[in-house]
Amino acid sequence: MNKELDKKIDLALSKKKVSINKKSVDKNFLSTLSRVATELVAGLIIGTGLGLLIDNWLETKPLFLIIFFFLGAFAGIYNLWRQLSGNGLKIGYFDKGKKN
Amino acid sequence: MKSPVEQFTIKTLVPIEAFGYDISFTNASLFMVLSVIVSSLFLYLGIKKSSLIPNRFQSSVELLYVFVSNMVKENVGTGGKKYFPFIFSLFMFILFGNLLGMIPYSYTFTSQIIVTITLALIIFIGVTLIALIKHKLKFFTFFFPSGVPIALAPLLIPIEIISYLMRPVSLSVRLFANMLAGHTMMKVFAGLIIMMTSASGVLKAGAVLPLLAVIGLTGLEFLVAALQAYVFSILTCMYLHDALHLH
Repeated sequence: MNKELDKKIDLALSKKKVSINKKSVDKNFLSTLSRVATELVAGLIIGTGLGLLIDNWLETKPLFLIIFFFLGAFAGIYNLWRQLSGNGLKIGYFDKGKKN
Repeated sequence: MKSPVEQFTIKTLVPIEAFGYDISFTNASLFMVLSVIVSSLFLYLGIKKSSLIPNRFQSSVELLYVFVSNMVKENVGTGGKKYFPFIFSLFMFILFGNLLGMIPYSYTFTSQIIVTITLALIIFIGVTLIALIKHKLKFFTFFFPSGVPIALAPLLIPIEIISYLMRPVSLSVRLFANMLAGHTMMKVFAGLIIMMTSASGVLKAGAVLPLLAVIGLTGLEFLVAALQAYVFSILTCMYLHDALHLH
């Protein structure tokens, strides 16, 4: 009985979450669309730039270039996910539900 | 025929040199000045004879004002009101810059990355300073939110710092790339019309296709001009929100 109730609650909650996310995407659909591509490019630019800077400073070419290239790519995708999941562009966002 | 990117060349109108730097008044500077003058005139004349029941001119001014005002209210939150003049000026400057660029033979200054990156860096540095002054050292918790396992710190902190530094880049590249690509595309299709009409036979009749494309693209460019001004200012609002409230 309890399990069934839990399932129902989970289902209702997941539905609610999806609908909220959908709304925030629809609301500013065009502006979201134009943000997507540049976010990925900017991640790569900053990642590669930072990697090169650190390499020039520590003379470790190409170690940090490689590390920061991937970090930059990941940051781009990560930011995109934050945007599309309806959490805006908030940096420092991390699963808010965990705190409660 | 002229190249499709020739429209972006900077031409010096009044050569000025100071301290070994070339700070000439160019066609880009001219249109920046024009953007300020035209937007100010538009706002001033619109509300000069303000009445309770606004005419079309007044109501378009009021619509813009309310639009940006609501944007600031919704996206910056509490304490955002004092930044409204800045956001509104920014919005009007970019909007009129983009729209003036749609007039044939004019110049689109937002298609220059140096212009957009300057705007973005002013916002980026300003927002960072606001956050530092308001939150002092607590600002740095921004890069490592509470509730995250410590083991993730070496991975998450560089990513968050990259994400933060990405802001001015993505902000400026977005505006610049949209304007550059749109205007180049219009010129390319317009060039196709000329090329096809000077050809013979079926190709000549086919020139109507790029003509239709240009008409469509012109409409699209007006949308992009307004949309990019909106995106630029709404992101500024979001960055301000983060600076004022951290998370």
